[in-house]
Amino acid sequence: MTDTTTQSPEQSPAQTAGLSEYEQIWAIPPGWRALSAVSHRALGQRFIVTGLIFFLIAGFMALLIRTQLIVPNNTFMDAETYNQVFTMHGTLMMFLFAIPILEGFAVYLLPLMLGARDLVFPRLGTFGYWCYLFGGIIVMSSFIFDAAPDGGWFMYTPLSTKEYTPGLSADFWLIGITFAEIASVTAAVEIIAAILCTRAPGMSLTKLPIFAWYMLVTAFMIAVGFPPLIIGSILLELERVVGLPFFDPLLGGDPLLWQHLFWLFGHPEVYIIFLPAAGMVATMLPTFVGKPLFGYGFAVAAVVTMGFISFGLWAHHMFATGLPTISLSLFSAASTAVTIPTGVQIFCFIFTLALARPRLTVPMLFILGFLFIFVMGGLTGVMLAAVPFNWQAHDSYFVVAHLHYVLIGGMVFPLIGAFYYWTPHFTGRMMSERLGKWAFWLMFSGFHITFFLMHLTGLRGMPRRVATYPEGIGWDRLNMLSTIGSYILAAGVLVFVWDFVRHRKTGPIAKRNPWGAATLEWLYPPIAPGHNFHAIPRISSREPLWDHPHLLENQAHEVEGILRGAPHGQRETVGCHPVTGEPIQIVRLPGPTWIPMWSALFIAVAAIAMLASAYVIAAAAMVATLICFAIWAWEPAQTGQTHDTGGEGILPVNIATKLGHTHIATIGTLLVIGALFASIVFAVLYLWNVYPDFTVTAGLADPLFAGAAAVLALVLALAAWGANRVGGSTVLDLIALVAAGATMAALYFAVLPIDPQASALGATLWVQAGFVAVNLFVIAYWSLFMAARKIAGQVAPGQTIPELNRASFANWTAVMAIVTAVILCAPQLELFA
Amino acid sequence: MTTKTDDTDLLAILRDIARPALIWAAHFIFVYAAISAACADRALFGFGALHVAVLIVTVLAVIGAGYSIFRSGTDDLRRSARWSGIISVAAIMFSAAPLILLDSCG
Repeated sequence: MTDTTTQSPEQSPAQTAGLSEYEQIWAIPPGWRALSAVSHRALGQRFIVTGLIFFLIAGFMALLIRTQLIVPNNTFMDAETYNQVFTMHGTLMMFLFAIPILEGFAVYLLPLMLGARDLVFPRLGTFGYWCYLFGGIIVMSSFIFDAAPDGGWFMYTPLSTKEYTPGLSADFWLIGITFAEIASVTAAVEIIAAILCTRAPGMSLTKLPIFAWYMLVTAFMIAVGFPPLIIGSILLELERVVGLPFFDPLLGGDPLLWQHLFWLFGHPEVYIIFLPAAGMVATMLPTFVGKPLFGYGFAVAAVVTMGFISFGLWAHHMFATGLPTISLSLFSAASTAVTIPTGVQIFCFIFTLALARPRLTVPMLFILGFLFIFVMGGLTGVMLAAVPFNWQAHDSYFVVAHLHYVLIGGMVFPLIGAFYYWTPHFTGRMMSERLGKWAFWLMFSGFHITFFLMHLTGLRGMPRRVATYPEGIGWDRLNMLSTIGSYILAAGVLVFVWDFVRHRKTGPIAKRNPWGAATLEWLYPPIAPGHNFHAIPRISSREPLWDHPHLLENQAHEVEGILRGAPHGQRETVGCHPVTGEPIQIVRLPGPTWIPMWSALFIAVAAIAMLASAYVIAAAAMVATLICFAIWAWEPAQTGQTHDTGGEGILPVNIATKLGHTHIATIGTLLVIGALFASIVFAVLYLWNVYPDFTVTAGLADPLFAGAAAVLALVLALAAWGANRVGGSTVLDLIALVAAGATMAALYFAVLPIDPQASALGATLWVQAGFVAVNLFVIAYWSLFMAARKIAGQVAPGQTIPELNRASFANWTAVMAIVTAVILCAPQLELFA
Repeated sequence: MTTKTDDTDLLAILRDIARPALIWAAHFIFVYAAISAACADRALFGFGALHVAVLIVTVLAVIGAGYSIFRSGTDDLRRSARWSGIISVAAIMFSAAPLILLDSCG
């Protein structure tokens, strides 16, 4: 379907010559082959629908929880089932609903807002989606095997260790969720590259839609915030499977290390959930007020600083764990400081509201609901940032109330508003204003009845996570009312779901730009074709549809722009300078393919095989994954071609410079790898600092091999740098391959004298060396692949994008290897001192 | 409706937006690490040294983060840079406050 084939008057057929080839090139395959589509439109809708399904499952679990608590001494569920239900409720909501569905909206909307024809790495995004789906299925399948996780969505140690959770339940959680997190991390890299590299001509960062700023900061936060949990999960799984004592105090481990790693992820996670939703509000609000967002500059500053400061709050979840008072004060202060950028954003929204009388549409109602609820949640957050109050309210229902005010107010209400606002994009029809108002008022009133009363329940001393409670101690009536409120809230959600389902058939056809919005995603009639822009227009305003009404006066496909149609017979979009937005290249994009799905499927097989302790199958599946990756990347290089863009002059295809999209993505990937490495170094330093007696218990690393590893890493970096400088060399590829292998061997012999079973520090040093070895293996595989491509004649002179990216990757890996060598030698220095 | 910004100046403004927040991050890591070094079992140095070290680093951080507050310019991203500086300086002071108010690890 295209913009030329719908029923509304604005979408009348256009028979312009040349369009059919363009539409054919961008078409989503019909029937079951639609699953091979990699278009951001298909991908975004998959994320949204899958996330919505997980939301409904998790919401049903919430109702089970509330039903259990409706009366004292209830036997609706036994304690074990209750533990499973509340664990899965939190897990699904946080990992499988909130972030994926917001990423789905971002994946769908960003190219449309930025003036791009697709996301910059469609196959990577698709791979991430399948990882998310398969990871979610693995986690959910734990119910079938009667092994549903029951240790809370935070999986605290020592409760989650093998000793106290002997079955597979924690393994399902650790493997499934880590697998699903691949989606978040890949999406983050893709969003960073897409926002920085594929904007319409002229769209400098000053003219960037505010939603893109929010998503850019969110993507960076995901890149830095998720790695601590990934490392924590790997450590915990290693402790459970191999018996390495990371969290065992008898061997110099520490259960608090898990909490640090978890909350280093867990607190920024709240902001990672909040920021995209706030970005949606910042986009929708001006539409209904009819004025641009008040204080764009303030909002950008607030988003950027919040992105940083939110990483300094993690230990406020650990106020009751016995940290020194001065540490508590530090985190209390940081928790209070984050209210400054939050407040700046909220005031931007309030002042925007004050600019004109807003239209009270359904999305606007949800925006107002967001403001009201989120501000209340923020205020109780400030209360909980105060250590003495936190100690009183710790692990009580007051905290449950607070977090739901923040998350439902800060994310779910904007999300439902966003559904009403952007659904015409998915279906070409409008959802019902009448049903939407019913949904809003049911949700709003049900929410407050449920959760406002929980503040009181908590202040009356009711602890969280208890399956039942005795009668007559002041909690009965409050719990009864909270449960009734939850049913009302659920009724509101059901009305929304009903409206979402029914409008596909009976909703009125959406006209072009139905809300009178300013942003570029409304340039085309809101239907779901396979393509975005027949020609990519030059942008000179942050509110292009308001400032340049002529964009809406013509048929969308007739709008002036560059790269009209498919002049080169391939999928392509404009690549821009990351700062100025001026075109610097033509980015070639791939079409439908099954390879990302197969890659993810083999990783899923590996994950399931690991759960079943079938390690040979797991290894075979990983080899199959590597083969899939090689097939994925085995395509003709296109660097060196140049083409006329028809308006912006002649541009090169897929440039091999540091401003190119693949290099920006490589830097994003290195950010993730750096955060992973930093998390391990944090663990090493933490254990070294907290348990000094264990420093040499497990034995000392071999300093000669550690030094050799450092030297060989430098050779690797030099070979990769040289290959980039000379523009590609099979010999240098092979030198890089050998150097990577030799560095791995040297690291192995360096840590060999350390017994990883004897102390937590020793085990963590093994993990650190192992992590660097994995990166070295990536370089070795990459170098082998590049050499094979050259030998097979797949690469022409000057096609050096892989060399450029590998050089950056090798440099960073060399730095990690050298840091590891120094840390391995540190205990020797300590003994010497 | 969009304020005109000279694109050639954009990179400098972006640096001014990011720098204060990065300095806050470096300062926070330093304060956290210093507290850990002084207050954990290893006790690498005393509380007095902690005070002095944090004080010096805080002064430097405030200067570095506050630098962009006084840059002129009225466009939106310049305003962002100024507010990034203001928010970051406030957050740096918040991080240092416990060291000023408390006289032991507790």
